[in-house]
Amino acid sequence: MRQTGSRELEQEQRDWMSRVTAAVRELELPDKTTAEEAARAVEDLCDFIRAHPKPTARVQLCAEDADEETRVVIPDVAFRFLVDVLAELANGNAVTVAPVHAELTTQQAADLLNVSRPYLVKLLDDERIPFRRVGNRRKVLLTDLLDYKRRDNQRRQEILDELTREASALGMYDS
Amino acid sequence: MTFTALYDANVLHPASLRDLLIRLGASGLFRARWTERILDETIESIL
Repeated sequence: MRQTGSRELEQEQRDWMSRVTAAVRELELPDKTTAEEAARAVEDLCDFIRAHPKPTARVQLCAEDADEETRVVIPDVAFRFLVDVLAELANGNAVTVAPVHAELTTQQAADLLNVSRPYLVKLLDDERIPFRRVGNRRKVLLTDLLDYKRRDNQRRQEILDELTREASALGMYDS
Repeated sequence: MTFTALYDANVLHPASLRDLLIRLGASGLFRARWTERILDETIESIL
């Protein structure tokens, strides 16, 4: 367990502020023209993705009548998000972006694992997932949580396969 | 965030149904749950 510093508390405050401002920012529903534009864009992008199945193709954004300098290269991950955003807009939905921070509260961690908060706290207390304390609150690194999730999934898969093998050997699928 | 599905003893016995439901639960689309007591009941019904 690492020690708490005032820097952590400052970060907490900043996180809180960004959550508040994000909540206050108004949601914008796409109008008909925007939705139609988005629908066309999704169709074109789907064609593009089918033509470039490997994520090695670099994606650039540029204005319609722009010269070379105004081209922007965006990461592959951002491109996939862009497709999702356009698909939602095409369906007439409003979209917000919520960052998943590198460090999670116990509730956020529990939600990501699909378990209750008390169960997650038990995992922390049993030292199955590393954590640190900030004041009297526990914080979990997203990378540690994803590590646990990967191991847990693998274990579950192995048990499930074993269960299926066993049932098959016992002729339990025959009836 | 998602909903919880309680698997009772009667869906944990036919092996094919159990496999399907547990694998569905493992997908993370919902929370699949059962209890020790339900498992006991399942085993009793098999024996």
